[in-house]
Amino acid sequence: MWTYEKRLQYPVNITKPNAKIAKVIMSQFGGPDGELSASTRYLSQRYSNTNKKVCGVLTDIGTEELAHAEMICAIVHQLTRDLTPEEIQAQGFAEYYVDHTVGIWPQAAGGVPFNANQFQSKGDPITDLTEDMAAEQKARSTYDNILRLVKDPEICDPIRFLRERELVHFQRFGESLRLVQDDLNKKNFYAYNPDFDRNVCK
Amino acid sequence: MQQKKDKKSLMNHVCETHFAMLDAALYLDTHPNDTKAMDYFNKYQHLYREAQKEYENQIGPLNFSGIDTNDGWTWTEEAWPWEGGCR
Repeated sequence: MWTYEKRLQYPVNITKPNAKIAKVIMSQFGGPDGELSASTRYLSQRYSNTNKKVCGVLTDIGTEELAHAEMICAIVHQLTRDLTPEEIQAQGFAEYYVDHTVGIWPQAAGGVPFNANQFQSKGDPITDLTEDMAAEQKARSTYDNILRLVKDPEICDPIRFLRERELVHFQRFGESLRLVQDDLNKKNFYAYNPDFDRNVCK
Repeated sequence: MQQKKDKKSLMNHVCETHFAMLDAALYLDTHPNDTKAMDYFNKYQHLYREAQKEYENQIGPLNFSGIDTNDGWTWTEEAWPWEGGCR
């Protein structure tokens, strides 16, 4: 169950449109290391995890990622909403525009559509949490790359907030992996799937 | 203009108190015995509830439970967040 709260997690108020930058930033919605992948990954991974604390982390971070996806969409929307067809052409946005006008559609910066193959839900908490830690770092790298291209402070400010959240989530997933490993039976030295191979390791 | 400034500061207060509460919640998920963090969580949970109530009384509903139909259907009256109306 989810409820919607009618606000952004962190304010987005962009006054100068810029389609070139919008095309880059939209990767953090539908791209390989984007917020939609992140949210779907964590919320999907919860069901095979038997550690109650880790389920809390996956639920709460997965929910926060939905709010981040909304922030990215708000940034892209505000960067593209007042463009003329001439500006769209001049700012290299024509390829996106022809299929989506200035609607929001999940794709990577290079035009590759959102795809569930961008993430895993392996049914093994050690595998999943290791992927989650990598995912947070990949998203952080993407935000670093964006920040090297963007100079407008109205855009940088919410992007910096999102970048910082990747660091916090990485920390929480690291602790989650520790919690799972601490729970392993000493016999399970080679870390077989603790939630599937129960007869072997518990 | 005065009303707009009030909306912005009320919204900022909602965002800030919720963020402090959320960040503490994530930490408590993996550190459930940290009483200092729990005190911090409790403080901001209280402040967030107050901020939410204040925003909903003065501006408009943040979620379904904040809707008062005595004023009509207010859910769709205020700007949507992605329009930049929350700043």
